[in-house]
Amino acid sequence: MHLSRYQTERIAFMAIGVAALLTVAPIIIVVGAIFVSGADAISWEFLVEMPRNGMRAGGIWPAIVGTAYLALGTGLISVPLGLGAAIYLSEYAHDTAWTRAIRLAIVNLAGIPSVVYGLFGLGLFVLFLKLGSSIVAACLTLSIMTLPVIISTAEEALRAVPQSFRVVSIGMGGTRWQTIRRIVLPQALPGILTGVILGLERAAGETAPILFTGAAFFLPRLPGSVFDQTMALPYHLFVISTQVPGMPVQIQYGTAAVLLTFVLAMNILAASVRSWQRRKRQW
Amino acid sequence: MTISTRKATRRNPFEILLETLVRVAGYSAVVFVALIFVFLMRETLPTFGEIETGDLFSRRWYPIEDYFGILPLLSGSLVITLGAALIAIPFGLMTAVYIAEIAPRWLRELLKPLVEVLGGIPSVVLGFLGILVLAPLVRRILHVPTGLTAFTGAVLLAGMAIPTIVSVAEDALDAVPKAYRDAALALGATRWQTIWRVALPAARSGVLTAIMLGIGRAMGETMTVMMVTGNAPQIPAGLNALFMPLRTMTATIAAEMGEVANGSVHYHVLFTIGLTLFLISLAVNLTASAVLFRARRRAERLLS
Amino acid sequence: MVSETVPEPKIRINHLSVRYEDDGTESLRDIHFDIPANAITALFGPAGGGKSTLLRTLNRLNDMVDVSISGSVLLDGVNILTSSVDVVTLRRRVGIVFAQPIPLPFSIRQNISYGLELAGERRRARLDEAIESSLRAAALWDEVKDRLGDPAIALSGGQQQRLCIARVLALSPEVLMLDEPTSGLDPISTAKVEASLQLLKQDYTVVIAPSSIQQAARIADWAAFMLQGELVEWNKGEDLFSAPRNKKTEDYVTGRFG
Repeated sequence: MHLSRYQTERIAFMAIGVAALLTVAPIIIVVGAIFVSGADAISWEFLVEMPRNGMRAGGIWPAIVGTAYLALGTGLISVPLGLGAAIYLSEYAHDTAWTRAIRLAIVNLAGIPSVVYGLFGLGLFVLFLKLGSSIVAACLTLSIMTLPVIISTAEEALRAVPQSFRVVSIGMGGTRWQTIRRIVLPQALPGILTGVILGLERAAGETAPILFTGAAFFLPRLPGSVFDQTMALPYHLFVISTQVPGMPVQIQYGTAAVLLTFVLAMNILAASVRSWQRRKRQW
Repeated sequence: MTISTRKATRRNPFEILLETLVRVAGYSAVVFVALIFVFLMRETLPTFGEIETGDLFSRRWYPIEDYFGILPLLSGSLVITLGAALIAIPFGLMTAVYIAEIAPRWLRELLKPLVEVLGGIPSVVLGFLGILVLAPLVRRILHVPTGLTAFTGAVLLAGMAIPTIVSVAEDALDAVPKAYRDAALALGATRWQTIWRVALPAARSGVLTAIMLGIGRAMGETMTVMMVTGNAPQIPAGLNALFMPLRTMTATIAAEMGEVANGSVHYHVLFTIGLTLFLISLAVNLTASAVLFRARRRAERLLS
Repeated sequence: MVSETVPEPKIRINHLSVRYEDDGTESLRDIHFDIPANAITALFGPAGGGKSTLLRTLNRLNDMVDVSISGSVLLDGVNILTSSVDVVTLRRRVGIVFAQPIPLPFSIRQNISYGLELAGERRRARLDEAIESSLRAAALWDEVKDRLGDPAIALSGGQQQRLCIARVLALSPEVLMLDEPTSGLDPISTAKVEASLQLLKQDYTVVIAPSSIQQAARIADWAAFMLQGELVEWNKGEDLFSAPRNKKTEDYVTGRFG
């Protein structure tokens, strides 16, 4: 049976369309299901109260606070380091073997499984440096994991700034740092911001790196210092859905919904930054 | 007298300080990779003094009784990654083609963020849904004793790999110069022929990278598989195995690390597994960058 | 080749050779001539002649890429190619305008004051004064004086190029270099730019790689014909165009190749 080119095209397009639909529909269903089922559990009290009765009742406030602490700490470490590395790669480095080694290292860091980061964090920060299972150890671990994302997106944003601006600035007697500070960085800022948002979003949602480095389930109080352990939303969801008998399904869905809301909010934020840049760009 | 004026440029100390700072930041990436390797090695080496290498490759993983055969874990990871790949690659690529080449602009602006959202969903959330929704479904529809199977895990892992494949492949297709497509259409090709014979081959290296990255992500997943594949370290045999529980390397580390005594044999073996995972991801990434590098060189030569 | 020297030239170029290291091409070979002060010197010739390279060497913009240089360039008698030279000050003294107008992603006002701000000038009054005087010198003041806060990219191509000239003038340079400045401009904008150059040469030394040989003939006081990295002939403008001494110059000027 010989098909004409147009018949082939129609079949191919139909198959692809169906595949795309089958891929995309579950996303909507999944997100919708969690929100619908979790909506019942979510109330102001759920968000700001401490948990009771072995986590089976009450709120998830400490998990939310813990996740915020972890995200903040990770940002404080990985953003300056990542931005610095990106500036080096984009503005200073020549194409040498060493530079290629750095790029290779970044690609590798990006591919390491999250549980291996947890193992590494345990070995280095918790045990060897004797920081113990703590916010600090968890943040350090998460920072190294987040570094490749921030470096890649920041470098891309810096490179996107037209080279002609740099030439003009240097031609007028500007130093390299003046050029970066006055032109390149401000113009690359939205792109860098997007990368930071997405990087921190990932860090806040990961469980495996914090399993052995700082997360805990039954904590009576909010953490008092960076050397304390902390509760965290993803870890909390994991435990209540697998290890606590008699945990009301409500609360599980509610916790999942809160985590998902956070993720969606970050995505929307990143998308807004991107479209704001597209509108305000002067080149 | 020949000079290179670049090297002859004087700079003030502030500039030098800043350049040093960013240079250190740049090299930190290399330092971290080396550090990770060193620390994994440090806790792995004792393994080879504590148990026979042959025992390590035996077929039983039962630490309580000192059985440390990692074959069931290796094969568990392999099977589930393969299963995820079989689902994720076709669906991911077809979705990428749809978004990049076929969908009208308004639909494209809708689908891209949607796929990004899927990519952002934390693995615990997918695992959670797996336990509460997918596993019971699998159990009822396929009449298996438990819904926590390799198949369930593969489906969810595919869900995690697909966004990576879609976004990287879509970028690659987008980057194909319009001139190629216009040339094909001008010669009378249909849109499908243009996609199949011109755009996809031109984006070949990017598509390959997308697949490798997607598979890499699937293989490295921990929480989803831990929650949904049943955690039974057995070597999958026969097609049935797809619908039975298994254990991956990643899940093993996550599940058992909390219970081991620091410095025990079990502890060291878990680090050995971790090092294995590190080395596998290293190999995959090196191959992926070599492919990309070679493709870029080829493209530069062609276009220069 | 070099028919005379000028007493007290602004710039003296001595046996200058420049080679780009990343592809090994020799861009300039033994260039040797003078650039007099308060005059327009035109560097003309077919593409690939080394004109842009020469301009970029005069303010050491070439430092941004890998080049090796031999010979010397004297600005007011001092060699600028040594390591003891402060390139920042050099680039303020020797300003450059490129072929494509490159407005910085700021307002018109910020574009002009950028150079002064780089130099540390913060006084509002001084900046405003510089903005007005340089925009007048570039024949742009009347067109933009009411919208200095608008983004520079909103200007037309010809206005943008005059903005780039004003931007350089704000630094009060001694030498003004222009690399094919009117390439993308319509005839009216071109005429405006050429007219400002005639005025500017009274206060500055102007070196221009003209966009066409006709432009060179129109405005050059002195002219240097460069072919494939070598200086073929250098003379007063009117003498070189009406009675070229070298056969190659004559062929190019009369259009036999190009």
